[in-house]
Amino acid sequence: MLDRITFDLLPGQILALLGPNGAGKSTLLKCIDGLLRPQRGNIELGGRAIHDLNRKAIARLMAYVPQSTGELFPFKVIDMVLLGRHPHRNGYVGNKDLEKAINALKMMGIEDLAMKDFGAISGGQQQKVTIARALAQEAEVLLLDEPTSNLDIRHQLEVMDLLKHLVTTNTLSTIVTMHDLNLAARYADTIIVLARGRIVALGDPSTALIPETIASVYRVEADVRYVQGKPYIIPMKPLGKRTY
Amino acid sequence: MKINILIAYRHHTGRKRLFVFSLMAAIGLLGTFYITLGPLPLSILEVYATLFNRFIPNYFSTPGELAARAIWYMRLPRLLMGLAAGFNLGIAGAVMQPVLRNPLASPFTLGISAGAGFGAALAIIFGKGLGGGVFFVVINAFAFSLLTAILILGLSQYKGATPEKMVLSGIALSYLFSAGTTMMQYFADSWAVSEVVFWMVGSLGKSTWSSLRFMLPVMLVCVPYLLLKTRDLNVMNTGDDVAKSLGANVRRDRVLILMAASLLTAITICFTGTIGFIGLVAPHIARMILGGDNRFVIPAAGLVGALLLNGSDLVAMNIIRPTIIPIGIMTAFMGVPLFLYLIMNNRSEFWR
Repeated sequence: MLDRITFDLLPGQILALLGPNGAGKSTLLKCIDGLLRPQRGNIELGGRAIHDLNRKAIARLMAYVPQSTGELFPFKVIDMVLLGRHPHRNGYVGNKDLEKAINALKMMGIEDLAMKDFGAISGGQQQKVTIARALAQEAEVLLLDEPTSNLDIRHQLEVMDLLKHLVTTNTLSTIVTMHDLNLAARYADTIIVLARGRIVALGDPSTALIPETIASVYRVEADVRYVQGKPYIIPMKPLGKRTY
Repeated sequence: MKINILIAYRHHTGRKRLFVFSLMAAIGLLGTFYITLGPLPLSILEVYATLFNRFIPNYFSTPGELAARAIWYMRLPRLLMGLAAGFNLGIAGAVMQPVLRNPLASPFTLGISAGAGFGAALAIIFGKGLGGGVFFVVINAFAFSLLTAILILGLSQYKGATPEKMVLSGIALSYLFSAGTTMMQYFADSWAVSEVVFWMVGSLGKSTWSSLRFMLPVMLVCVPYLLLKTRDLNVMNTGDDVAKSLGANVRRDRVLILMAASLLTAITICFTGTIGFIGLVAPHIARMILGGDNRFVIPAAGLVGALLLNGSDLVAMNIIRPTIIPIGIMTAFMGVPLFLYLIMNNRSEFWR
């Protein structure tokens, strides 16, 4: 499904993966985390092929935030975040683990939720808790699968602002898959546009998000304006044959 | 704020720990009471004098050989068997549910009880099977109950089956083995049929020290292993992908945990017959009170199972004396109303 994907990831930056449904964004993210194994090729992190590492070692390097986290049985928010300490410990939950989990909640500004039931808080709050779990994991690389797709506009901005802040202050390398082109243009340092498993465009937002790319990838005619130095995409109409 | 959360968390886990310890205390109390009841009329003092007489005969005197035999060879093994069976089924159910990602999973989900019934029927009706001697039926039931679990686990290992497929194939195999058992019963003599029915309904009547001697080593291996795995089970609560990304070896752990739970179930029901319901309900009762954290739920489910089984047995032995209602029936009679009550009245910690 994915073919000839090569790119570099820089610390302290947000890389956004864009592309239509089925382009392979989530698949790529799972390949990077070693959840899926590429038929050929390697994913290297700091010169090491990740498939030579065991799961716990990978988990100490990379944290994965899925689109939505379900829970089968009820957990407290703090317990959910403590799971992020799993790759670092073998014994009981120590005070050190607990402190790191609380710090992660603090970084996300949600320490007041600590003792709430995870299932009882809103979708936006759940998303923040999952990101806090990834932070408690203390990985160098953050992988987020559509972290904003289920959120209202305020939570979208909040989550992306927080992410930007965390990534620059902690020099994390971050890959985010997204559907919202404008959100990507505004927050990403680098953008990769995928279509049918291949990279169609790669570069900073203003070079990757040009009307021609959007037209060929999404088959949408778009007007690109610049707002505060960032491209702002206004979709105009679908191109080609009507599908309805 | 940080200190507050720390204190709140410690308070929170402390309360759960306290609940687990109170379950142990409750079992201790129930056990001390249980041992004093039975068809042989003995006073509480006589019962304990007889018990202690066995260890320090100089200080305690027994009312007689009959009392000593009743207590040492009937009541005590029955009590311990009931506790062990309830504990094993509770723990097995408590790990099956998160590992198979299904709140309806129980120790019998992988077809173990139907397999055991088939093995027992084979031994009772045709006298065919593995092993011989006193434990002929038991060994046969044990072998066939593990057969279904091994089939499903092997399938999942080589074909990479998902939990859903494992549950469905478990149900399918259950039907297959039940059909086999029913067919044997259809052609069998009536005494053999009722024998099979008696076996399958579940009873503690055949509890002996030697059956406990077989159970103990399996428990000593499986229970500590499952208790060690509670943290991995917590990670699995988030789904396979996330669990893997958090460092869990999901596929290997799933097979090993299911194997341990199946062994625990098989070694239990081959001696007692199929005591259903406990393995499904004890974990849910534990979770309603404790939430989802498997570090506490799994030991608590075992203890709730033991308490439920023994409490039921106490009622089963005394409600229409001298008849003893089979334990498999009594657990349902006692447990279902309790369970329904808890479902209807619990809003705080119940799984959503």
